[in-house]
Amino acid sequence: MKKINRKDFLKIGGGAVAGGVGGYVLSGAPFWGAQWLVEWTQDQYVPPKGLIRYIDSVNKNCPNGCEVSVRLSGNRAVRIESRKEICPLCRNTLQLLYHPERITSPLKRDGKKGSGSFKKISWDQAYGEISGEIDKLTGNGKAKKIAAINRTESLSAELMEKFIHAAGSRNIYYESSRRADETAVLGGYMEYDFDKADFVLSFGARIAEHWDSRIDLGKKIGQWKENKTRFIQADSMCTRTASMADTWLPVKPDGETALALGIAAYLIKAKKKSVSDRNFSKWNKLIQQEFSLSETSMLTGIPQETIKKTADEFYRAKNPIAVCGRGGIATTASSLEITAVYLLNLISGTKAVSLVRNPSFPHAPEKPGLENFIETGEAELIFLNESNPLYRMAGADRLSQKLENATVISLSPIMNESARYADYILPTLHFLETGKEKVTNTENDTRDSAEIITSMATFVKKTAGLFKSPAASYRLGTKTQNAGKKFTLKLPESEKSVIGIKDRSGDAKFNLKMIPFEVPLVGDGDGMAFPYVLKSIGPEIFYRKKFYVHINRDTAKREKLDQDDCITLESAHGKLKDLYVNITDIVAPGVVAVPLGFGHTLYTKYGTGKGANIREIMNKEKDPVTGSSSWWATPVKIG
Amino acid sequence: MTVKDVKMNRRWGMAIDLDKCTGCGQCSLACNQENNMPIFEDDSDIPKRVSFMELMKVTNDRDAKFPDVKTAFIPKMCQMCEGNDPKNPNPPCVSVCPVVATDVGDDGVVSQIWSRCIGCRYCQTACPYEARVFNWWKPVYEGTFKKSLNPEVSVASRGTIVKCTFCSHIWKRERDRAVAEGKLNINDVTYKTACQSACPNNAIIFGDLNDPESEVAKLSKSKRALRLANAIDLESPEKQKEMRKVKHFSNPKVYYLTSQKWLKDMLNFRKN
Repeated sequence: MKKINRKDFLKIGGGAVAGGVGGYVLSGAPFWGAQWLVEWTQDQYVPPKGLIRYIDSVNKNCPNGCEVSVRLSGNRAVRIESRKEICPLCRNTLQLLYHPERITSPLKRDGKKGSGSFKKISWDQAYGEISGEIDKLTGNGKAKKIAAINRTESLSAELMEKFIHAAGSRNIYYESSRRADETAVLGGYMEYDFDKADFVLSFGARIAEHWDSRIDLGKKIGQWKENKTRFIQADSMCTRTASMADTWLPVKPDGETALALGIAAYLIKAKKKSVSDRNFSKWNKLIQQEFSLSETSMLTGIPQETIKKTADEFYRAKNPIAVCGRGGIATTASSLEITAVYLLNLISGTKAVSLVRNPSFPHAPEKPGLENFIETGEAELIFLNESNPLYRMAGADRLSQKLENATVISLSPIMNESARYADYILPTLHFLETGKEKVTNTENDTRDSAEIITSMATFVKKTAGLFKSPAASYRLGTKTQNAGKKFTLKLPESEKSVIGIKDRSGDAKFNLKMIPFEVPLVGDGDGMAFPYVLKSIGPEIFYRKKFYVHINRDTAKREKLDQDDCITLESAHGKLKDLYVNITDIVAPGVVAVPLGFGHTLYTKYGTGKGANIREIMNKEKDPVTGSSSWWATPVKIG
Repeated sequence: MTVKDVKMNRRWGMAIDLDKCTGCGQCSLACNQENNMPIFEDDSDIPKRVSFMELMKVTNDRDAKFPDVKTAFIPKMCQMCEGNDPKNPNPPCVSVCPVVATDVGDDGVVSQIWSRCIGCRYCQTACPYEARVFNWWKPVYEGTFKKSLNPEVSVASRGTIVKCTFCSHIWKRERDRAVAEGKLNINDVTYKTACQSACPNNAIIFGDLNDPESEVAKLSKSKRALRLANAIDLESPEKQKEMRKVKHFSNPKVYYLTSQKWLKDMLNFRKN
C-alpha cells in the first residue's frame, strides 16, 4: 500500500473540503438557512385558519339598507363583499365590528357630567332607571320635554320616532337632513328620479361625493355620459363632481341661491311661466326686481350669456332636474334656496322630480330644525340615537349646556364627544352580530338598537303596548306618498331674507369665505375612528400631523401666505388654530376650503386630535323656516 | 392530466377608467382589508405608510388657473411591469432582488414573498412607480382587530417590502375550488381582485390581456388608454423598436383610461 505523503494528504483533505462546500452550496442549504433566519427574526403573526364560508346580511340601520356578503374564516369575519353597491361605512364595517374601543356593556355616569367617568350596569337596571325618568316626565305632564336626535333616516330612527311620539312628544331631530329641511319648507321633500332625467342642474350638490348618503350616484354620472344627459354643476370649488360634470359653473362662494333665483326669474319672465300660489305674484315681483340677469351675473360671477344659456337648456329639456342641498354627505340649504330650486322643477314640468313624504319619517317636530332646538328647545331627557351632535353641529357650546342640564341617553357603539355627556350609554350591536346567521363577539354585552328601543318602550308605562312584534321583524319603511304641490313662501320673513342673500358678508373685517369640502371615506367625521380610512387620506389634506386648508394662489399672494404656513382662521364665532396652507387654484379666489370630518376631541385614539373641526367656527344663524343653520360660506379672516 | 400539465395562458392585466372614478375610496378599503394592511394610530407620514393602493388626488392647477382647473383621482398600485419583451418578462424590481423574494409568474403577475425579503429595499428604489412600500415598524393589530385578519395573506413583519399582487391568493382559492370540482385546466379559472369587486362605478376592470375578447384587452387597445409614465407609448411602432434596443422600459400591464387631455399629459409627466 502506497504510503500517503504530506502532499497527497493535503490533496485529499482539500478535495474533501471543496466537495463538502460545493455540496453544501448546491444543496440549497445556505438559501434555506438564510430564509429560516429571516423568518425567525421576523416574528411573523399567523392568523388562525378556518373553514371559509359566506353569510349574507342586510344593514337595516344604514339609510341605503346595504346588502353585504361576509366572508368568514371559521367564526371570524375577514372580508365584506357584495353583489350590489354598498356604502363606504358598510364596506369598512369589520373595523367597527372588531374595534378594540367598542363599548362592551351598558354604562351609567359615575361622576360629574362630561367627566367621562362611567360604571358598568346591567341592561335591566338601565331600562328600569331610564323608563323611571320617562314615566316621571309623562306623569308630571312634561312629556314634551322628551327629545331625540337621530343620525339619519334609518330603522332605529324610525322606531325612535314611533317611541317618542307614543310617549307624547314631537321633538325628533336629525343631524343635517335634507329631507327634514325640505319638509319644513315645502311640506315634503324632493324625490329625484335620476334615471328619467335628461338634464341635471345641481346647485352645489356634490353628487359624486356621496351626496345625500346615496351610493348609486357615481354610477349614474357615468350613465348620464352614455345617455347624453347634460350635467351642470354650480360650485365655488373644483370638486370631483364639478370635474365630472359636462359644464362647471364656478359661482362666487354662496352664489348658488342667487343663481337659482336668477334662472327662475329669467324663465318666469322670458317663458311666461306662472304657478298657482297666493304668494306667487308678490314673490315674483320681488325676484324680478332683485335678480335680473345682470344682477344675478354680478352676484354669482357667471356671465349673463351663460346663465341665459343654462336656463334655456334647462327649459328645453324634457325631464330636467334641479338638485338642492349643497355639499356631500352633510347637506345644507336655506329655505329660499329650497324654494327657488323647487320652483325651477315646478315650472319645467319635469316628471323626474316629485314632492313626497315618507309616513315613517314625518319630520314634524314642534319647531323644525336641530339648531332651533339647540337654541330655544326645552328638554329634560334627550336620546342621542347613533348621533354625535356635539361634534357635528354648529353651536356646540349651547348644546353642551343643554346636555349638562338634561338626562342624556346615548345609543352608540363607541365613545364620542356627545356620549361623554350621557347619563346612560347603551352600546349598540353591530348588524353582523344579529340575525339567524351571525358573527358573534361573545365577550360583548351589546344589543341591537332596534331591540333597545322596542325593549325600552315595554318598560315605559305609556308605551308598553307600542311594539307588539319582536325587534327583528321590523323593516325600514320606504313607502313614500305624494306630498302634493305645495309651493308657498312666507313673504314677510322671506322678503328680508331674499334681499339679505345679496350681502351676507357682515363685518367687513372678515374678508374671506370659508367653505367645507369632503375627503374620501372620512365623510362627515364618522370614518376617522377606523385605521383603514386613515390610510386613504391624501397629503394635501393631512400630512405628518399637519392639517391643510386650501387657498387660491391670488388670495395667498394678497394675504402674504406661502405654502405650508401655519395660520389661524377666525370667524365671528371663534378661531381655528394650527391650520397649514395648501395653495391651490381648485378653490375660487377669496375662499378658504376646509376639509370636513376632522378635529374630533373624543372619538377613539385613531380619530382624536387630528386636524380641526370646521363646525366650531361655522355660521350659527338659523334659517327662519327650516330652523337649521345655513353654514355654507362663513365669513372668516386669517388671524 | 394534473394541474401541473396545463400551461398557463393567462396574462392578467387591469384597466382603470379615470373618467368614471369618483374617488370614493372603496377600492382602497377593500384592498386594505383583503391584504391585512398594518394598523397604526397615525398614518399621516405618507412616504412611510404601508398600503398597496394609493388613492392619489391630482389636479392641473400647476398649469391652469381657477376656473380652468380640473381634479381627478388615480388609484395607483403595482403596475405589473413586464419589461421590453412580454414573452420574457423582466420588471425593473425583479432583477435587483438578491434573495428572489420577487419574481414574475407565468400569468404575468409580479409576485412578492414577504417572509423571504431581507429588507435591502433595492426593489423599492428600482420601482418606477413607487408602488412598493417598506414596513418600517412591526405591524400592530391591536386587540380585537386581529380577528379580522385574512388567513390567505401572510402578515408582513417589520423590515420587509410589500406590494400589490393582483390578489393572486384569490386566484389560488378559485383554482383550488375548481380542482376540487374536478376542473383541472387552470386556464378556466378566473377571479376578481378586491379593488375591482369593491368599485361601485365599474371603473376598475381586471382580466386576461391575452384573451382578445376580454373587456380588459379591448379597453387596453382603446384610444383613451395609456400607461403611467411609460413615455415609449407615445412614439411610433418603428421608433419604439429602436428605443427598446437601447433602453429597458417598464411596459406595465395596468392601463388608465381617460379622454381628458390634461390627465393624459399628467400621466406621462408632460406639461399641459
